[in-house]
Amino acid sequence: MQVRDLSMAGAWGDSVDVLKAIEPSLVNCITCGGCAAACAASANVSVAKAILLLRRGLLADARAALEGCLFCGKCRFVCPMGVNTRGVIAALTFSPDSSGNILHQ
Amino acid sequence: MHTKKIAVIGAGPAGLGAASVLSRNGLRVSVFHREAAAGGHLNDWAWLFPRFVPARDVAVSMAAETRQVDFHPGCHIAGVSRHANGQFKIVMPDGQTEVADALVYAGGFRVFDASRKEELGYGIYPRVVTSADLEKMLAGEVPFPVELLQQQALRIGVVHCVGSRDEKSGNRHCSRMCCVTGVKQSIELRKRFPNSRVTAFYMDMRMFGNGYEELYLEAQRDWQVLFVRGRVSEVAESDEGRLRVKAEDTLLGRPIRDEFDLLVLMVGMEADLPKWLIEDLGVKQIDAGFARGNDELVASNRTPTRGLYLAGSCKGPLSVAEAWNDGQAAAQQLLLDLNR
Ligand SMILES: Cc1cc2nc3c(=O)[nH]c(=O)nc-3n(C[C@H](O)[C@H](O)[C@H](O)COP(=O)(O)OP(=O)(O)OC[C@H]3O[C@@H](n4cnc5c(N)ncnc54)[C@H](O)[C@@H]3O)c2cc1C
Ligand code: SF4
Ligand code: SF4
Ligand code: SF4
Repeated sequence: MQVRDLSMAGAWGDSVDVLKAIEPSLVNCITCGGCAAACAASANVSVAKAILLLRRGLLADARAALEGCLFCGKCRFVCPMGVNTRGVIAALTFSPDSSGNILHQ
Repeated sequence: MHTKKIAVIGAGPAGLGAASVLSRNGLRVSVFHREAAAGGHLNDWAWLFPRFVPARDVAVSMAAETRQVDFHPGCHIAGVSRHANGQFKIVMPDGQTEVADALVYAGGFRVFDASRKEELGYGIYPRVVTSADLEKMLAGEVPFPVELLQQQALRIGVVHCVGSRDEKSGNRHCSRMCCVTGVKQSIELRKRFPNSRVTAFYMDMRMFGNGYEELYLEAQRDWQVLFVRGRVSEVAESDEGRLRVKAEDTLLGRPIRDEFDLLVLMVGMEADLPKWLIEDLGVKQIDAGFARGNDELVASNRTPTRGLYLAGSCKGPLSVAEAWNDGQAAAQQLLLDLNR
């Protein structure tokens, strides 16, 4: 099993800062999972998980947590913290990271 | 000694705490209280966390701490104004007025109206109740939904943070009391219905007081209450009248679809300040809408208006003991200022 480095160097830095700038509401997430419970797509799609992974600096995994997302916005409706989940998904899926690469797979 | 006259508005734990100190220091004290009996929300609860003391007994012993006060029960104060000479004019429901040299506002909080969270089905499905309703059921004042008593293998769900930490209901703040209330009520339900299983859906467990953490452990160890970290996003009713719940187990990253016979919503504490307090007496508010003292550290009972003091949960969610102590602190502050 791969040991993960939680030195936080990449956690809230680098590409995550780019995403934060695009969708500032993402910092309000309390990872309650309401979005995942309400998700229309599948049991594997989770904005909560994506945001948690993002905070650990694990961008590729965060993207994977949204695979299959229909972009329907139901998760935004249930979020208690006013996170613009669609904005987070869009930023994560379509935005360039710090090295200029498009995050989209 | 003093002949100054002090008005206390609200006779919950905080107002009684203030009245006890003021009346024992030779001041003339008038207490104005909306309900017939002193005690505030204590009269709405059955047993208090963390040690299951009967709430009404606490109300009685708090009231017994006061000395001669002029108690006005059933007296909802709908307006107070301040004269140029610094005195307060209090208007009673019958139109009569009373004048006081200083005023302690101890009007408390309001319980969140759960029907505002439509997706949880309160007011739609009879088996969805609030923590406040459950207190009445535990006290025997309101019956439990009848079928529950006979049912085998009862499933009960407890939902935390209803109307708190929730931007949609306009309440960003944490109500502080509902986590431990959830733990307390889970245990009470397990005692009342030994054939039940209780699952509590929480987002963070906030066991801040003495004995709370122990109660949380007891609930899991001795009463097999299952705590699941995740927010309930929807409640619907099945054909058999059971409650279908959608949630996410955020620690396992797995969705939950479960059915319950009873859902108890841990409703939050909201600000309930009268207009006149803000508009006529100049009291400021914190973001959550509660009253703001001059500062949170050394002058939380004082206001920018001379002679006006704040006490208890009108300033934010407090426990009974905290509200009582805060009322006494407000009175002490008032005495210090009077003698200055
Ligand atoms: C479901 C639930 C369960 C709880 N259980 C516990 C527990 O087990 N243990 C614990 O420590 N805490 C518990 N609490 C918290 C507890 O209720 C509060 O700590 C306490 O009631 C605060 O006291 P208070 O005097 O500040 O306000 P309140 O109890 O709200 O009293 C204020 C009083 O002022 C009166 N009033 C307001 N405005 C006016 C006016 N204009 N004129 C006249 N009268 C007025 C009100 O009618 C009220 O009676 C619980 C809270 C909830 C929501
Ligand atoms: S519902 Fe909102 S606060 Fe809760 S995990 Fe999803 S994005 Fe975060
Ligand atoms: S927008 Fe995507 S993540 Fe949100 S509920 Fe719809 S499918 Fe699920
Ligand atoms: S005390 Fe617990 S249930 Fe109440 S608002 Fe805070 S976190 Fe939620």
